Amino acid sequence: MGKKEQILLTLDGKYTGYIPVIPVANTFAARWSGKPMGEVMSNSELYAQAVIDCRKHFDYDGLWVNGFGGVAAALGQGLTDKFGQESLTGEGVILTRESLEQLHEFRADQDLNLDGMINAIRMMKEQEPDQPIFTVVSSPASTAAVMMDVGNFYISMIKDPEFVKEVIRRITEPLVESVKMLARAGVDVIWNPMPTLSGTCISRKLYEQICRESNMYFNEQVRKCGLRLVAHACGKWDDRFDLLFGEGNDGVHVSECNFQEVCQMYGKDTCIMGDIPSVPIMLFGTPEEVYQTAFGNCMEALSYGTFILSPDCGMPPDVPYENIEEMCRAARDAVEKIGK
Amino acid sequence: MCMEEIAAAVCEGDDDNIVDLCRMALEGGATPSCIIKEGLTAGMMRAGEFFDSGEYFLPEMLISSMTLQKGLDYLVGCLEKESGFWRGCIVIGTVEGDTHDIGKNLVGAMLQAAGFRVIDLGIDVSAERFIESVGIYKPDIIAMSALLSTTMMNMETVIRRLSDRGLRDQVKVMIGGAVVNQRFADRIGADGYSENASQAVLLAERLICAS
Ligand code: B12
Ligand SMILES: [Zn+2]
Repeated sequence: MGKKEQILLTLDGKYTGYIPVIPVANTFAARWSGKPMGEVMSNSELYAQAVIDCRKHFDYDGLWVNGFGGVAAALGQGLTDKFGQESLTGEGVILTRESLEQLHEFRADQDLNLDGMINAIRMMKEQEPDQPIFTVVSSPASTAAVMMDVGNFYISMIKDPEFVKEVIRRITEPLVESVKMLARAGVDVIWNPMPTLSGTCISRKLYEQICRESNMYFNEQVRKCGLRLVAHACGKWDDRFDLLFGEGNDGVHVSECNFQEVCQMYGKDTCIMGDIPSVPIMLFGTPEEVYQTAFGNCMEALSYGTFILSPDCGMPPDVPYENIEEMCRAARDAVEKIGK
Repeated sequence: MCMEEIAAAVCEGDDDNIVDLCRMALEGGATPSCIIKEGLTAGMMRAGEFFDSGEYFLPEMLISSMTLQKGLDYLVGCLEKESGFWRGCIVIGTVEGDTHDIGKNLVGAMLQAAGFRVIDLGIDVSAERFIESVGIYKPDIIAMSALLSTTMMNMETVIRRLSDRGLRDQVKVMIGGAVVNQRFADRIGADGYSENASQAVLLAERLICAS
Protein backbone atom coordinates (compact mmCIF):
# COMPACT_ATOMS: atom_id res chain seq x y z
CA MET A 1 0.00 0.00 0.00
CA GLY A 2 1.38 3.45 -0.92
CA LYS A 3 1.77 6.34 1.50
CA LYS A 4 -1.06 8.32 0.00
CA GLU A 5 -3.50 5.46 0.35
CA GLN A 6 -2.37 4.85 3.92
CA ILE A 7 -2.94 8.47 4.86
CA LEU A 8 -6.36 8.69 3.24
CA LEU A 9 -7.36 5.46 4.99
CA THR A 10 -6.15 6.95 8.27
CA LEU A 11 -8.55 9.83 7.67
CA ASP A 12 -11.27 7.26 6.98
CA GLY A 13 -10.68 5.80 10.41
CA LYS A 14 -8.70 2.70 9.38
CA TYR A 15 -5.37 1.95 11.07
CA THR A 16 -2.81 0.79 8.53
CA GLY A 17 0.16 0.14 10.78
CA TYR A 18 1.52 3.59 10.11
CA ILE A 19 1.19 6.95 11.87
CA PRO A 20 1.37 9.80 9.34
CA VAL A 21 3.37 12.84 10.42
CA ILE A 22 1.92 15.90 8.71
CA PRO A 23 3.14 19.31 9.90
CA VAL A 24 1.39 22.30 8.32
CA ALA A 25 4.69 23.25 6.79
CA ASN A 26 4.02 25.92 4.19
CA THR A 27 5.94 28.88 5.61
CA PHE A 28 8.43 26.48 7.15
CA ALA A 29 9.24 24.99 3.74
CA ALA A 30 9.55 28.44 2.22
CA ARG A 31 12.08 29.45 4.89
CA TRP A 32 13.94 26.13 4.66
CA SER A 33 14.49 26.68 0.92
CA GLY A 34 16.85 29.53 1.82
CA LYS A 35 15.35 31.93 -0.70
CA PRO A 36 13.65 35.18 0.40
CA MET A 37 10.34 34.25 2.03
CA GLY A 38 8.26 36.84 0.18
CA GLU A 39 9.58 35.70 -3.17
CA VAL A 40 8.84 32.03 -2.51
CA MET A 41 5.37 32.67 -1.13
CA SER A 42 4.35 34.70 -4.15
CA ASN A 43 5.78 32.44 -6.86
CA SER A 44 3.87 29.18 -7.26
CA GLU A 45 6.76 27.31 -8.85
CA LEU A 46 9.36 28.31 -6.28
CA TYR A 47 6.83 27.56 -3.59
CA ALA A 48 5.89 24.10 -4.87
CA GLN A 49 9.54 23.14 -5.28
CA ALA A 50 10.32 24.28 -1.73
CA VAL A 51 7.45 22.22 -0.31
CA ILE A 52 8.45 19.12 -2.29
CA ASP A 53 12.16 19.32 -1.45
CA CYS A 54 11.54 20.10 2.21
CA ARG A 55 9.20 17.13 2.62
CA LYS A 56 11.71 14.80 0.98
CA HIS A 57 14.51 16.13 3.13
CA PHE A 58 12.77 15.53 6.46
CA ASP A 59 10.67 12.61 5.23
CA TYR A 60 7.43 13.71 6.88
CA ASP A 61 4.13 13.31 5.00
CA GLY A 62 1.83 15.54 2.98
CA LEU A 63 2.31 18.45 0.63
CA TRP A 64 0.75 21.82 1.36
CA VAL A 65 -0.60 24.07 -1.32
CA ASN A 66 -0.28 27.69 -0.34
CA GLY A 67 -3.03 29.22 1.84
CA PHE A 68 -6.10 30.15 -0.10
CA GLY A 69 -7.25 33.75 0.20
CA GLY A 70 -8.55 33.58 -3.35
CA VAL A 71 -12.26 34.02 -2.84
CA ALA A 72 -11.90 37.09 -0.62
CA ALA A 73 -9.53 38.65 -3.13
CA ALA A 74 -11.62 37.71 -6.16
CA LEU A 75 -14.80 39.16 -4.65
CA GLY A 76 -13.37 42.19 -2.93
CA GLN A 77 -10.19 43.29 -4.64
CA GLY A 78 -10.13 47.01 -5.42
CA LEU A 79 -12.97 47.87 -3.01
CA THR A 80 -12.40 50.29 -0.16
CA ASP A 81 -11.36 48.71 3.14
CA LYS A 82 -11.77 49.88 6.74
CA PHE A 83 -8.69 52.10 6.46
CA GLY A 84 -10.21 53.82 3.42
CA GLN A 85 -7.70 52.16 1.11
CA GLU A 86 -8.13 50.10 -2.02
CA SER A 87 -7.91 46.51 -0.87
CA LEU A 88 -5.62 43.99 -2.56
CA THR A 89 -6.84 41.04 -0.55
CA GLY A 90 -10.55 41.68 -0.06
CA GLU A 91 -10.03 41.95 3.70
CA GLY A 92 -12.33 44.34 5.53
CA VAL A 93 -14.28 45.47 2.48
CA ILE A 94 -17.80 44.43 3.53
CA LEU A 95 -18.57 46.98 6.19
CA THR A 96 -22.20 47.70 5.30
CA ARG A 97 -25.05 46.06 3.42
CA GLU A 98 -24.38 48.42 0.51
CA SER A 99 -20.83 47.12 0.15
CA LEU A 100 -22.27 43.64 -0.39
CA GLU A 101 -23.75 44.92 -3.65
CA GLN A 102 -20.34 46.05 -4.87
CA LEU A 103 -18.64 42.65 -4.69
CA HIS A 104 -17.40 41.28 -7.99
CA GLU A 105 -18.83 38.21 -9.64
CA PHE A 106 -16.78 35.10 -8.95
CA ARG A 107 -15.41 33.16 -11.93
CA ALA A 108 -13.34 30.21 -10.74
CA ASP A 109 -11.90 29.68 -14.23
CA GLN A 110 -10.59 33.25 -14.36
CA ASP A 111 -9.13 33.45 -10.89
CA LEU A 112 -5.38 34.09 -10.93
CA ASN A 113 -4.85 32.93 -7.37
CA LEU A 114 -6.45 29.59 -8.23
CA ASP A 115 -4.31 29.44 -11.33
CA GLY A 116 -1.14 29.63 -9.26
CA MET A 117 -2.40 26.95 -6.90
CA ILE A 118 -3.28 24.63 -9.75
CA ASN A 119 0.18 25.11 -11.17
CA ALA A 120 1.70 24.13 -7.80
CA ILE A 121 -0.58 21.08 -7.57
CA ARG A 122 0.51 19.92 -11.03
CA MET A 123 4.19 20.06 -10.03
CA MET A 124 3.50 18.20 -6.81
CA LYS A 125 1.61 15.43 -8.55
CA GLU A 126 4.34 15.01 -11.12
CA GLN A 127 7.18 14.85 -8.63
CA GLU A 128 5.48 13.19 -5.68
CA PRO A 129 2.53 11.16 -6.95
CA ASP A 130 2.38 9.11 -3.76
CA GLN A 131 1.89 12.04 -1.36
CA PRO A 132 -1.53 13.50 -0.54
CA ILE A 133 -2.00 17.18 -1.28
CA PHE A 134 -3.51 19.37 1.43
CA THR A 135 -4.81 22.84 0.92
CA VAL A 136 -6.06 25.51 3.26
CA VAL A 137 -9.60 26.71 2.57
CA SER A 138 -11.46 28.66 5.24
CA SER A 139 -15.13 28.02 5.90
CA PRO A 140 -17.75 30.54 4.73
CA ALA A 141 -18.09 32.03 8.22
CA SER A 142 -14.32 32.42 8.64
CA THR A 143 -14.07 33.99 5.21
CA ALA A 144 -16.94 36.32 6.08
CA ALA A 145 -15.05 37.36 9.21
CA VAL A 146 -12.03 38.36 7.16
CA MET A 147 -14.02 40.15 4.47
CA MET A 148 -16.14 42.04 6.99
CA ASP A 149 -13.08 42.91 9.11
CA VAL A 150 -12.98 40.64 12.12
CA GLY A 151 -13.87 43.38 14.63
CA ASN A 152 -16.87 44.46 12.61
CA PHE A 153 -17.87 40.81 12.10
CA TYR A 154 -17.92 40.27 15.86
CA ILE A 155 -19.85 43.45 16.59
CA SER A 156 -22.36 42.68 13.84
CA MET A 157 -22.89 39.18 15.24
CA ILE A 158 -24.67 40.84 18.13
CA LYS A 159 -26.00 44.03 16.59
CA ASP A 160 -27.10 42.71 13.20
CA PRO A 161 -26.86 38.92 12.96
CA GLU A 162 -28.97 38.82 9.80
CA PHE A 163 -26.37 40.91 8.01
CA VAL A 164 -23.65 38.45 8.97
CA LYS A 165 -25.75 35.55 7.74
CA GLU A 166 -26.35 37.35 4.48
CA VAL A 167 -22.61 37.83 3.96
CA ILE A 168 -21.99 34.16 4.73
CA ARG A 169 -24.64 33.13 2.19
CA ARG A 170 -23.11 35.38 -0.45
CA ILE A 171 -19.65 33.85 0.04
CA THR A 172 -20.61 30.20 0.24
CA GLU A 173 -21.13 29.35 -3.44
CA PRO A 174 -17.88 30.97 -4.63
CA LEU A 175 -16.05 28.93 -1.99
CA VAL A 176 -17.75 25.74 -3.13
CA GLU A 177 -16.93 26.57 -6.75
CA SER A 178 -13.25 26.99 -5.95
CA VAL A 179 -13.18 23.76 -3.97
CA LYS A 180 -14.58 21.95 -7.03
CA MET A 181 -11.85 23.46 -9.13
CA LEU A 182 -9.17 22.39 -6.63
CA ALA A 183 -10.63 18.88 -6.55
CA ARG A 184 -10.40 18.65 -10.33
CA ALA A 185 -6.79 19.82 -10.13
CA GLY A 186 -5.96 16.94 -7.79
CA VAL A 187 -6.13 18.18 -4.20
CA ASP A 188 -6.88 15.39 -1.73
CA VAL A 189 -7.63 17.10 1.56
CA ILE A 190 -9.15 20.45 2.52
CA TRP A 191 -7.84 21.82 5.81
CA ASN A 192 -10.17 24.38 7.30
CA PRO A 193 -8.70 26.54 10.11
CA MET A 194 -11.26 28.25 12.33
CA PRO A 195 -9.42 30.36 14.92
CA THR A 196 -11.87 33.25 14.70
CA LEU A 197 -14.86 30.98 15.44
CA SER A 198 -13.27 29.36 18.50
CA GLY A 199 -14.14 29.72 22.16
CA THR A 200 -11.13 32.01 22.38
CA CYS A 201 -13.23 34.52 20.44
CA ILE A 202 -16.98 33.87 20.38
CA SER A 203 -19.53 32.18 22.59
CA ARG A 204 -20.90 28.76 21.84
CA LYS A 205 -24.29 30.36 21.39
CA LEU A 206 -23.14 32.70 18.60
CA TYR A 207 -21.24 29.85 16.97
CA GLU A 208 -24.35 27.75 16.95
CA GLN A 209 -26.70 30.51 15.82
CA ILE A 210 -24.58 32.06 13.09
CA CYS A 211 -21.76 29.78 11.92
CA ARG A 212 -22.72 26.17 12.27
CA GLU A 213 -25.29 25.74 9.54
CA SER A 214 -22.99 27.15 6.87
CA ASN A 215 -20.10 24.98 8.13
CA MET A 216 -22.24 21.89 7.75
CA TYR A 217 -23.41 22.84 4.29
CA PHE A 218 -19.88 23.66 3.17
CA ASN A 219 -18.51 20.39 4.57
CA GLU A 220 -21.16 18.43 2.75
CA GLN A 221 -20.25 20.09 -0.55
CA VAL A 222 -16.54 19.43 -0.02
CA ARG A 223 -17.17 15.76 0.59
CA LYS A 224 -19.43 15.56 -2.46
CA CYS A 225 -16.35 16.50 -4.48
CA GLY A 226 -14.66 13.38 -3.17
CA LEU A 227 -12.29 15.32 -0.92
CA ARG A 228 -11.39 14.56 2.68
CA LEU A 229 -11.90 17.33 5.16
CA VAL A 230 -9.92 18.25 8.26
CA ALA A 231 -11.24 21.01 10.53
CA HIS A 232 -8.57 22.83 12.48
CA ALA A 233 -10.01 23.57 15.93
CA CYS A 234 -7.61 26.41 16.49
CA GLY A 235 -7.83 27.98 19.95
CA LYS A 236 -10.25 26.81 22.63
CA TRP A 237 -13.04 24.49 21.49
CA ASP A 238 -13.67 22.54 24.68
CA ASP A 239 -17.13 24.02 25.08
CA ARG A 240 -18.19 23.10 21.53
CA PHE A 241 -16.31 19.98 20.47
CA ASP A 242 -19.64 18.14 20.48
CA LEU A 243 -20.85 20.51 17.75
CA LEU A 244 -17.65 20.42 15.70
CA PHE A 245 -17.33 16.65 15.73
CA GLY A 246 -20.90 16.42 14.49
CA GLU A 247 -20.31 18.58 11.42
CA GLY A 248 -19.06 15.92 9.03
CA ASN A 249 -15.28 16.25 9.23
CA ASP A 250 -13.02 13.29 8.46
CA GLY A 251 -10.38 14.67 10.78
CA VAL A 252 -10.16 17.29 13.49
CA HIS A 253 -6.80 18.99 14.07
CA VAL A 254 -6.91 20.04 17.70
CA SER A 255 -4.92 22.63 19.66
CA GLU A 256 -5.55 23.95 23.17
CA CYS A 257 -7.57 21.05 24.56
CA ASN A 258 -7.57 18.17 26.95
CA PHE A 259 -6.06 15.85 24.38
CA GLN A 260 -6.78 12.58 26.10
CA GLU A 261 -10.38 13.48 26.77
CA VAL A 262 -10.95 14.51 23.15
CA CYS A 263 -9.41 11.28 21.84
CA GLN A 264 -11.47 9.26 24.24
CA MET A 265 -14.75 10.96 23.40
CA TYR A 266 -14.42 11.41 19.64
CA GLY A 267 -11.43 9.40 18.42
CA LYS A 268 -13.51 6.35 17.58
CA ASP A 269 -15.44 8.12 14.83
CA THR A 270 -13.10 10.87 13.67
CA CYS A 271 -9.37 10.89 12.94
CA ILE A 272 -7.56 13.15 15.44
CA MET A 273 -4.63 15.31 14.36
CA GLY A 274 -2.24 17.21 16.64
CA ASP A 275 -1.08 18.00 19.27
CA ILE A 276 2.52 19.15 19.81
CA PRO A 277 2.38 22.78 21.03
CA SER A 278 3.79 24.72 18.06
CA VAL A 279 5.52 27.57 19.86
CA PRO A 280 6.56 26.34 23.33
CA ILE A 281 7.57 22.80 22.23
CA MET A 282 8.22 22.72 18.48
CA LEU A 283 9.88 26.12 18.32
CA PHE A 284 11.38 26.62 21.78
CA GLY A 285 11.43 23.10 23.24
CA THR A 286 14.37 20.71 23.31
CA PRO A 287 14.47 17.69 20.98
CA GLU A 288 13.74 15.47 24.01
CA GLU A 289 10.64 17.49 24.85
CA VAL A 290 9.41 17.20 21.28
CA TYR A 291 10.01 13.44 21.29
CA GLN A 292 8.26 12.91 24.61
CA THR A 293 5.22 15.00 23.66
CA ALA A 294 4.93 13.43 20.23
CA PHE A 295 5.34 9.90 21.48
CA GLY A 296 2.80 10.52 24.24
CA ASN A 297 0.31 11.92 21.72
CA CYS A 298 0.63 8.86 19.50
CA MET A 299 0.19 6.38 22.32
CA GLU A 300 -2.80 8.19 23.75
CA ALA A 301 -4.63 8.76 20.47
CA LEU A 302 -3.98 5.31 19.02
CA SER A 303 -5.74 3.60 21.88
CA TYR A 304 -9.03 5.15 20.75
CA GLY A 305 -8.86 5.51 16.95
CA THR A 306 -6.71 6.78 14.11
CA PHE A 307 -4.23 9.59 14.41
CA ILE A 308 -2.05 12.01 12.46
CA LEU A 309 0.88 13.49 14.35
CA SER A 310 1.38 17.23 13.83
CA PRO A 311 2.21 20.42 15.69
CA ASP A 312 -1.01 21.90 17.13
CA CYS A 313 -1.03 24.73 14.57
CA GLY A 314 0.98 25.97 11.61
CA MET A 315 4.64 25.04 12.04
CA PRO A 316 6.67 28.21 12.73
CA PRO A 317 9.34 28.81 10.07
CA ASP A 318 12.22 28.84 12.57
CA VAL A 319 11.62 25.42 14.15
CA PRO A 320 15.00 23.71 14.73
CA TYR A 321 15.55 20.88 12.25
CA GLU A 322 16.39 18.43 14.99
CA ASN A 323 12.93 18.91 16.50
CA ILE A 324 11.33 17.80 13.25
CA GLU A 325 13.50 14.71 13.12
CA GLU A 326 12.49 13.86 16.68
CA MET A 327 8.81 14.30 15.84
CA CYS A 328 9.14 11.80 12.98
CA ARG A 329 11.14 9.37 15.08
CA ALA A 330 8.50 9.41 17.82
CA ALA A 331 5.78 8.32 15.36
CA ARG A 332 7.92 5.43 14.07
CA ASP A 333 8.75 4.31 17.62
CA ALA A 334 5.08 4.44 18.60
CA VAL A 335 4.19 2.12 15.72
CA GLU A 336 6.96 -0.26 16.81
CA LYS A 337 5.53 -0.29 20.28
CA ILE A 338 1.88 -0.70 19.26
CA GLY A 339 2.55 -3.10 16.45
CA LYS A 340 1.56 -2.91 12.85
CA MET B 1 -28.16 60.64 37.14
CA CYS B 2 -25.88 58.13 38.71
CA MET B 3 -22.55 56.76 37.59
CA GLU B 4 -23.91 53.27 37.91
CA GLU B 5 -26.12 53.80 34.88
CA ILE B 6 -23.14 54.87 32.79
CA ALA B 7 -21.10 51.94 34.00
CA ALA B 8 -23.93 49.57 33.14
CA ALA B 9 -24.29 51.11 29.69
CA VAL B 10 -20.61 50.48 28.97
CA CYS B 11 -20.66 46.98 30.36
CA GLU B 12 -23.80 46.06 28.43
CA GLY B 13 -22.61 47.80 25.30
CA ASP B 14 -25.38 50.38 24.98
CA ASP B 15 -23.49 52.57 22.54
CA ASP B 16 -26.63 54.31 21.28
CA ASN B 17 -27.29 55.98 24.62
CA ILE B 18 -23.88 56.51 26.13
CA VAL B 19 -23.35 60.06 24.88
CA ASP B 20 -26.76 61.16 26.18
CA LEU B 21 -26.02 59.60 29.54
CA CYS B 22 -22.66 61.41 29.76
CA ARG B 23 -24.26 64.71 28.76
CA MET B 24 -26.91 64.32 31.44
CA ALA B 25 -24.23 63.56 34.02
CA LEU B 26 -22.30 66.69 33.03
CA GLU B 27 -25.47 68.78 33.23
CA GLY B 28 -26.08 67.30 36.63
CA GLY B 29 -22.75 68.76 37.79
CA ALA B 30 -20.40 65.78 37.56
CA THR B 31 -16.87 66.53 36.34
CA PRO B 32 -15.63 64.78 33.19
CA SER B 33 -12.87 63.00 35.09
CA CYS B 34 -15.37 61.72 37.62
CA ILE B 35 -17.65 60.42 34.84
CA ILE B 36 -14.69 58.71 33.20
CA LYS B 37 -13.43 57.11 36.39
CA GLU B 38 -16.63 56.15 38.12
CA GLY B 39 -18.81 55.60 35.07
CA LEU B 40 -16.98 54.64 31.91
CA THR B 41 -13.93 53.00 33.43
CA ALA B 42 -15.88 51.15 36.07
CA GLY B 43 -18.11 49.75 33.32
CA MET B 44 -15.19 48.69 31.15
CA MET B 45 -13.41 47.06 34.10
CA ARG B 46 -16.58 45.11 34.82
CA ALA B 47 -16.73 43.95 31.18
CA GLY B 48 -13.06 42.95 31.52
CA GLU B 49 -13.91 40.83 34.54
CA PHE B 50 -16.69 39.10 32.61
CA PHE B 51 -14.20 38.44 29.81
CA ASP B 52 -11.63 37.00 32.20
CA SER B 53 -14.25 34.75 33.76
CA GLY B 54 -15.44 33.44 30.39
CA GLU B 55 -18.87 35.05 30.47
CA TYR B 56 -18.02 37.60 27.79
CA PHE B 57 -16.30 36.87 24.50
CA LEU B 58 -14.81 39.20 21.91
CA PRO B 59 -18.13 40.44 20.43
CA GLU B 60 -19.35 41.59 23.84
CA MET B 61 -15.95 43.10 24.71
CA LEU B 62 -15.73 44.97 21.44
CA ILE B 63 -19.18 46.49 21.87
CA SER B 64 -18.30 47.57 25.41
CA SER B 65 -15.08 49.03 24.15
CA MET B 66 -16.89 50.88 21.35
CA THR B 67 -19.32 52.29 23.90
CA LEU B 68 -16.46 53.36 26.14
CA GLN B 69 -14.77 55.03 23.18
CA LYS B 70 -17.89 57.02 22.28
CA GLY B 71 -18.16 58.24 25.85
CA LEU B 72 -14.46 59.11 26.01
CA ASP B 73 -14.54 60.93 22.67
CA TYR B 74 -17.42 63.03 23.93
CA LEU B 75 -15.79 63.85 27.26
CA VAL B 76 -12.19 64.28 26.18
CA GLY B 77 -12.79 67.81 24.84
CA CYS B 78 -13.99 68.95 28.27
CA LEU B 79 -11.25 67.00 29.95
CA GLU B 80 -8.34 68.82 28.35
CA LYS B 81 -9.46 71.84 30.36
CA GLU B 82 -9.25 69.93 33.62
CA SER B 83 -5.58 70.14 34.42
CA GLY B 84 -3.50 67.26 35.66
CA PHE B 85 -5.88 64.56 34.54
CA TRP B 86 -3.55 62.49 32.39
CA ARG B 87 -1.31 60.22 34.40
CA GLY B 88 1.22 59.69 31.66
CA CYS B 89 1.59 59.11 27.95
CA ILE B 90 1.72 55.70 26.29
CA VAL B 91 2.51 54.98 22.66
CA ILE B 92 0.95 51.69 21.61
CA GLY B 93 1.14 49.65 18.41
CA THR B 94 1.24 46.20 16.85
CA VAL B 95 4.72 45.37 15.57
CA GLU B 96 5.82 45.18 11.97
CA GLY B 97 4.39 42.35 9.89
CA ASP B 98 1.51 41.84 12.27
CA THR B 99 -2.01 43.12 11.69
CA HIS B 100 -3.76 41.72 14.77
CA ASP B 101 -5.29 44.64 16.60
CA ILE B 102 -8.23 43.47 18.70
CA GLY B 103 -6.13 42.81 21.81
CA LYS B 104 -4.05 45.93 21.29
CA ASN B 105 -7.20 48.04 20.96
CA LEU B 106 -8.67 46.60 24.14
CA VAL B 107 -5.44 47.31 26.00
CA GLY B 108 -5.40 50.84 24.55
CA ALA B 109 -9.01 51.44 25.58
CA MET B 110 -8.41 50.21 29.12
CA LEU B 111 -5.27 52.34 29.48
CA GLN B 112 -7.14 55.36 28.22
CA ALA B 113 -10.03 54.67 30.56
CA ALA B 114 -7.52 54.43 33.40
CA GLY B 115 -6.35 57.95 32.66
CA PHE B 116 -3.36 57.50 30.38
CA ARG B 117 -2.98 59.55 27.23
CA VAL B 118 -2.77 56.86 24.58
CA ILE B 119 -1.22 57.41 21.16
CA ASP B 120 -2.15 54.50 18.92
CA LEU B 121 0.27 53.96 16.04
CA GLY B 122 -1.96 51.20 14.65
CA ILE B 123 -0.84 47.93 13.12
CA ASP B 124 2.25 46.77 11.22
CA VAL B 125 4.32 49.46 12.94
CA SER B 126 7.98 49.46 11.95
CA ALA B 127 10.75 49.71 14.53
CA GLU B 128 11.63 53.07 13.03
CA ARG B 129 8.14 54.45 13.68
CA PHE B 130 8.26 53.36 17.31
CA ILE B 131 11.63 55.09 17.64
CA GLU B 132 10.41 58.28 15.96
CA SER B 133 7.41 58.39 18.29
CA VAL B 134 9.76 58.88 21.25
CA GLY B 135 10.92 62.16 19.79
CA ILE B 136 7.45 63.25 18.73
CA TYR B 137 5.26 62.37 21.73
CA LYS B 138 7.81 62.00 24.55
CA PRO B 139 5.91 58.98 25.91
CA ASP B 140 6.57 57.46 29.31
CA ILE B 141 5.94 54.00 27.93
CA ILE B 142 6.09 52.21 24.59
CA ALA B 143 3.59 49.34 24.52
CA MET B 144 3.97 46.70 21.82
CA SER B 145 1.66 43.91 20.82
CA ALA B 146 2.51 40.79 18.75
CA LEU B 147 0.40 37.74 18.04
CA LEU B 148 2.64 35.85 15.67
CA SER B 149 5.72 33.79 16.36
CA THR B 150 7.11 35.33 13.18
CA THR B 151 6.71 38.91 14.41
CA MET B 152 7.49 38.71 18.12
CA MET B 153 11.19 39.12 17.37
CA ASN B 154 10.46 42.58 16.01
CA MET B 155 9.91 43.68 19.60
CA GLU B 156 13.53 42.92 20.31
CA THR B 157 14.56 45.03 17.32
CA VAL B 158 12.71 48.04 18.74
CA ILE B 159 14.38 47.65 22.13
CA ARG B 160 17.81 47.20 20.57
CA ARG B 161 17.40 50.31 18.43
CA LEU B 162 16.22 52.35 21.40
CA SER B 163 19.49 51.45 23.09
CA ASP B 164 21.55 52.10 19.97
CA ARG B 165 20.10 55.60 19.73
CA GLY B 166 20.64 56.29 23.42
CA LEU B 167 16.89 56.50 24.06
CA ARG B 168 16.41 53.43 26.20
CA ASP B 169 16.56 55.37 29.48
CA GLN B 170 13.87 57.78 28.36
CA VAL B 171 11.04 55.24 28.00
CA LYS B 172 9.81 52.08 29.60
CA VAL B 173 8.83 49.24 27.31
CA MET B 174 5.94 46.91 27.95
CA ILE B 175 4.87 44.03 25.74
CA GLY B 176 1.96 41.63 25.33
CA GLY B 177 0.04 39.42 22.93
CA ALA B 178 -0.83 35.75 22.80
CA VAL B 179 2.62 34.43 21.77
CA VAL B 180 4.79 36.29 24.24
CA ASN B 181 5.33 35.69 27.94
CA GLN B 182 7.35 36.92 30.89
CA ARG B 183 10.32 34.77 29.96
CA PHE B 184 10.42 36.29 26.50
CA ALA B 185 10.05 39.79 27.95
CA ASP B 186 13.04 39.19 30.19
CA ARG B 187 15.05 37.76 27.35
CA ILE B 188 14.60 40.77 25.10
CA GLY B 189 15.03 43.29 27.91
CA ALA B 190 11.48 44.67 28.11
CA ASP B 191 10.48 46.34 31.37
CA GLY B 192 7.23 44.46 31.69
CA TYR B 193 4.80 41.95 30.28
CA SER B 194 1.19 41.36 31.08
CA GLU B 195 -1.25 38.73 30.07
CA ASN B 196 -4.40 40.77 29.61
CA ALA B 197 -5.83 44.27 29.46
CA SER B 198 -6.68 44.71 33.14
CA GLN B 199 -3.20 43.56 34.15
CA ALA B 200 -1.78 45.93 31.54
CA VAL B 201 -3.25 48.87 33.45
CA LEU B 202 -1.61 47.75 36.70
CA LEU B 203 1.66 47.19 34.89
CA ALA B 204 1.59 50.66 33.34
CA GLU B 205 0.91 52.19 36.74
CA ARG B 206 3.85 50.28 38.21
CA LEU B 207 6.20 51.30 35.42
CA ILE B 208 5.24 54.95 35.68
CA CYS B 209 5.74 54.97 39.44
CA ALA B 210 9.15 53.39 38.98
CA SER B 211 10.32 56.00 36.48
C1 B12 C 1 -8.70 37.31 15.30
C2 B12 C 1 -7.47 36.63 14.71
C3 B12 C 1 -7.05 37.01 13.43
C4 B12 C 1 -7.72 38.11 12.64
C5 B12 C 1 -7.14 39.45 13.11
C6 B12 C 1 -8.17 40.55 13.11
C7 B12 C 1 -7.71 41.75 13.83
N1 B12 C 1 -8.13 42.88 13.33
O1 B12 C 1 -7.02 41.70 14.82
C8 B12 C 1 -7.31 37.72 11.19
C9 B12 C 1 -8.31 36.74 10.65
C10 B12 C 1 -7.18 38.88 10.22
C11 B12 C 1 -6.01 36.99 11.47
C12 B12 C 1 -5.00 36.86 10.53
C13 B12 C 1 -3.89 36.06 10.73
N2 B12 C 1 -3.65 35.25 11.77
CO1 B12 C 1 -4.65 35.34 13.38
N3 B12 C 1 -5.69 35.05 14.96
C14 B12 C 1 -6.76 35.62 15.43
C15 B12 C 1 -7.19 34.94 16.74
C16 B12 C 1 -8.31 33.98 16.41
C17 B12 C 1 -7.63 35.81 17.87
C18 B12 C 1 -6.70 36.95 18.21
C19 B12 C 1 -7.43 37.88 19.12
O2 B12 C 1 -7.91 38.91 18.70
N4 B12 C 1 -7.58 37.47 20.38
C20 B12 C 1 -8.35 38.21 21.37
C21 B12 C 1 -7.49 39.28 22.03
C22 B12 C 1 -8.33 40.00 23.08
O3 B12 C 1 -6.44 38.61 22.65
P1 B12 C 1 -4.92 39.05 22.45
O4 B12 C 1 -4.73 39.65 21.13
O5 B12 C 1 -4.04 37.95 22.87
O6 B12 C 1 -4.76 40.25 23.47
C23 B12 C 1 -4.86 40.12 24.88
C24 B12 C 1 -3.53 39.82 25.57
O7 B12 C 1 -2.63 39.08 24.76
C25 B12 C 1 -3.01 41.15 25.98
N5 B12 C 1 -2.25 41.96 25.03
C26 B12 C 1 -2.32 42.03 23.67
N6 B12 C 1 -1.52 42.96 23.20
C27 B12 C 1 -0.89 43.53 24.24
C28 B12 C 1 0.06 44.53 24.31
C29 B12 C 1 0.55 44.90 25.55
C30 B12 C 1 1.56 45.99 25.63
C31 B12 C 1 0.11 44.25 26.72
C32 B12 C 1 0.65 44.63 28.01
C33 B12 C 1 -0.86 43.25 26.65
C34 B12 C 1 -1.35 42.89 25.42
O8 B12 C 1 -4.19 41.83 26.31
C35 B12 C 1 -5.22 41.50 25.37
C36 B12 C 1 -6.55 41.63 26.04
O9 B12 C 1 -6.71 40.74 27.14
C37 B12 C 1 -5.86 34.20 17.14
C38 B12 C 1 -6.06 32.93 17.95
C39 B12 C 1 -5.57 33.06 19.37
N7 B12 C 1 -5.71 31.98 20.06
O10 B12 C 1 -5.08 34.07 19.79
C40 B12 C 1 -5.22 33.95 15.76
C41 B12 C 1 -3.72 33.83 15.65
C42 B12 C 1 -3.03 34.85 16.51
N8 B12 C 1 -3.46 34.10 14.18
C43 B12 C 1 -2.58 33.34 13.71
C44 B12 C 1 -2.16 33.39 12.35
C45 B12 C 1 -1.14 32.36 11.91
C46 B12 C 1 -2.67 34.35 11.48
C47 B12 C 1 -2.25 34.56 10.01
C48 B12 C 1 -0.75 34.46 9.74
C49 B12 C 1 -2.89 33.71 8.97
C50 B12 C 1 -3.80 32.76 9.24
N9 B12 C 1 -3.64 31.77 8.40
O11 B12 C 1 -4.66 32.81 10.07
C51 B12 C 1 -2.81 35.96 9.71
C52 B12 C 1 -1.72 36.99 9.94
C53 B12 C 1 -2.09 38.38 9.61
C54 B12 C 1 -0.96 39.26 10.02
N10 B12 C 1 -0.02 39.53 9.11
O12 B12 C 1 -0.88 39.68 11.14
C55 B12 C 1 -2.01 32.38 14.72
C56 B12 C 1 -0.63 32.73 15.23
C57 B12 C 1 0.23 31.50 15.37
C58 B12 C 1 1.54 31.87 15.90
N11 B12 C 1 1.80 31.46 17.11
O13 B12 C 1 2.31 32.51 15.24
C59 B12 C 1 -3.13 32.39 15.82
C60 B12 C 1 -2.64 32.08 17.22
C61 B12 C 1 -4.17 31.40 15.36
C62 B12 C 1 -3.61 30.14 14.95
N12 B12 C 1 -3.28 29.30 15.89
O14 B12 C 1 -3.48 29.91 13.76
N13 B12 C 1 -6.00 36.49 12.68
ZN1 LIG D 1 -4.11 26.94 14.68
